Amino acid sequence: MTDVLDRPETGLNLKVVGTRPDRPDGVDKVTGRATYGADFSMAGQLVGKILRSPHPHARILSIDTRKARALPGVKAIVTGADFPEQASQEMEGGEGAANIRDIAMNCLARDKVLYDGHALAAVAATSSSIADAALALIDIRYEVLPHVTEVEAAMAADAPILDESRFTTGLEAKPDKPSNIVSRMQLKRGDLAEGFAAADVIVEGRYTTPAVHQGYIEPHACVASWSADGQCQVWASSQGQFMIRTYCAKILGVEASDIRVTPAEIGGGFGGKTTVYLEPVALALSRQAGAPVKMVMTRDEVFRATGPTSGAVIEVKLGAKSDGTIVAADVVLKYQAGAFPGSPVAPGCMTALACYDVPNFLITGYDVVNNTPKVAAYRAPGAPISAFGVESAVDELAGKLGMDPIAFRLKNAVRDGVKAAYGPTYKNIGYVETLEAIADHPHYRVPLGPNQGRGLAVGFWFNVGGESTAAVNIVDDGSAVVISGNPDIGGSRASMAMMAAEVLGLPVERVRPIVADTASIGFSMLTGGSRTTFATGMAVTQAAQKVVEDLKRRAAEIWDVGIDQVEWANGSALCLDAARNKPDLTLAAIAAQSGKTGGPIGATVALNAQGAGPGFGAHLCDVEVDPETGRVTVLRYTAAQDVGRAIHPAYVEGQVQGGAAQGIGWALNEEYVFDAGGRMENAGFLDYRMPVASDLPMIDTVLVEVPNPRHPFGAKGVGEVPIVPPLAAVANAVSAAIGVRMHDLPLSPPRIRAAVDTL
Amino acid sequence: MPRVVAAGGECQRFTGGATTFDVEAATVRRLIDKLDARYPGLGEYIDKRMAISIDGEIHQDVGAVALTPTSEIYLIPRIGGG
Repeated sequence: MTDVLDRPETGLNLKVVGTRPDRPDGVDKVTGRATYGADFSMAGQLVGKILRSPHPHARILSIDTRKARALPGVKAIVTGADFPEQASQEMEGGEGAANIRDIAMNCLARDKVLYDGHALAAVAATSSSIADAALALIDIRYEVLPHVTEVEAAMAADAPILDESRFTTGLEAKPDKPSNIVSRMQLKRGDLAEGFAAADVIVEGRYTTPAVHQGYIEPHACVASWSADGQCQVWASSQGQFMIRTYCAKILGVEASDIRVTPAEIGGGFGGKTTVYLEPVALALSRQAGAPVKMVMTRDEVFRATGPTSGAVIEVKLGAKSDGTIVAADVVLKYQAGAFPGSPVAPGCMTALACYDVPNFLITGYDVVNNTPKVAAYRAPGAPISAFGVESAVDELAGKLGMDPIAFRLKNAVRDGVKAAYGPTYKNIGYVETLEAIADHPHYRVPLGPNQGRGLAVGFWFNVGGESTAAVNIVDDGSAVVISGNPDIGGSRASMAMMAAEVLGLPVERVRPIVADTASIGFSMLTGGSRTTFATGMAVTQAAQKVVEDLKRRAAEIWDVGIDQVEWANGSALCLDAARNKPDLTLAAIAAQSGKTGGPIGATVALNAQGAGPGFGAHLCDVEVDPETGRVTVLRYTAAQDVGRAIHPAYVEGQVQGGAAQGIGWALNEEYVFDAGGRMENAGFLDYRMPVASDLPMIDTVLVEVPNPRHPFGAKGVGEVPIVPPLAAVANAVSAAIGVRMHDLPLSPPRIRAAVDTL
Repeated sequence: MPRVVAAGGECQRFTGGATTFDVEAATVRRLIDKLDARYPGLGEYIDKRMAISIDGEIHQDVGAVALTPTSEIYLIPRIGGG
């Protein structure tokens, strides 16, 4: 059951926004007709496969492909040498700058392999078995190097260095030795020593989280075709077809306009499909072979060579007055970046204290490379990790003060007008309302039984806008097509159709949403950062508004009145000049004679949406722990979130429930396990345990609506926030149930048994 | 004159450690240009790595946004997402 609290009056008289129509892509998805990345095929296509490193760190001395090339049925073989040399330079991709040389070397290694599973060479052959045989014939000579997987080991002065040319940035003094610590970042306010001196109670703890994968069901897959005239096409599952176009063009040294990327349906991404792995390789193979090439990762490859997010160490020290006022916070974050720089430690730092008004703090973050796969974005990148440490410490501090955890958080809560820990002043935020929603929820008063515990945690995410293009075209029967450039991951087709229908005055069933290829719609940043409903929705809304203005102009022409005498309501033009006695003109009636009033009816809007409102959430979790086995059962889970305005409440609830489910898995079961040789030991869903429906209770959601005044319908991003609080909410519940503060994730049965044994 | 605060990121690499700057500028673009003139290389760094929060609202890649003498301006690391 879901509650929608405080639905605000907008004066908009909304008819479609806020309702729950069936999703337009639903039938194909539940009947198996939807075409995902691996479902697409072309006549004459070859099978592409990748040879991956068995070593986590090694110098490549030579790659001999002669025997493999001689194998009948082998049509192409590429290595890193087939990509043009790249300078180390950052360039705009799907949602910000990324180092194109690192991306290229992650697709195919040059000089060194940096993790178990790093791609070395690729083969295109006429069959899967021939491709496998060819991979086995590629002779690679390595100089195996010492490796390091854990973050603090990688930071040590005597650690094996991944890149001898890398010196830590962000320090006061320039270091004289290379390091795996890429950079240090700090945020500070006030006087930390004075703050702790004024504290009556201080808690201090060291927390750890393992690397975890985004866990999307659909593996990476693509088909690439390089024609003889240099025109390329790619069909791929990703979070951004324009991102694929940009990266492939740069990596291969071709014009972006020569690459057309068609987005397949996407079977989950969660941030993990915001970069390229296969697509440039498949294009290079296709160019060499003169035929289309299809590549599909195995699950083993997905785990070993894509994602995950960082494993981390979080050190937190908090001080408070006896009345519950937090006066000082010292937070240190050490995040794995994997093989190349770029962990999400910056947003980890910025979000760590984003829910609290703390006068004195120091937040220090380290971005650290190590011999594991390069991390990729994962919902609210970096925030769940820092929130795990901070929210655990806050829970402990509230307990020491004997305060109710909600009352303690409310006492220190940020509100409109308070400066965020990362600098800016908050406005139009709904954080306090989410805490109050949990306090008012019946869940908060359910009595607990033996071996049961209750945990609360909160979370924050910025949300972003960015560049989007959308078109609204009217069909001659009076229906409409909405075209956008964002893959539909979380129901965006439905929300785009609903916003267009709301403006046009059409039933939502008469608006068909389409996700177009890169040649058929203008640029859009990728689907990520909880930006699509906000930013692309703004483009859709403005395009629909332009269409309405055009429809009014045409009605005025038909009636021979001024446009100021035409009003648009409920999908029809109304003539305000009563003396003319004109019957209403429906959209269909105007569309039917569009040729006589100026031609086809449609509008395109391209914009860079600003004004995304930040989101907050508060999660409450009840668990029961079996003290004999250490098994944790989640009994009840309630998530309250400020969503601005829910365009389609059911999909917003789905986002909240999905984020909570992923966070619960992160808390209880998920982790990358490496053997002493630096090889992943659990690269499959049997051994990498993710929660399934039978592991979880129904996750109750409370949608708090504090509208974003910068969006036409008040929307805020909703997809990131719900994965921020669960790690700590679950850990706080488990800690309460067993009476031992749990510092290390996952809270697996052996770890809980060990904690119980300390009592 | 708008005051700019660098919060996080590595702007100090270009500024000799300074994190607060008073800059006479009417738009974000002019602000970045003037910071780059004062601290060569900072402009490109801001363009590629930083977002700009103006009066509590985070902007990325918007040069035309107007500034006022009382604008609250923070340079913060660019934000992506999952």
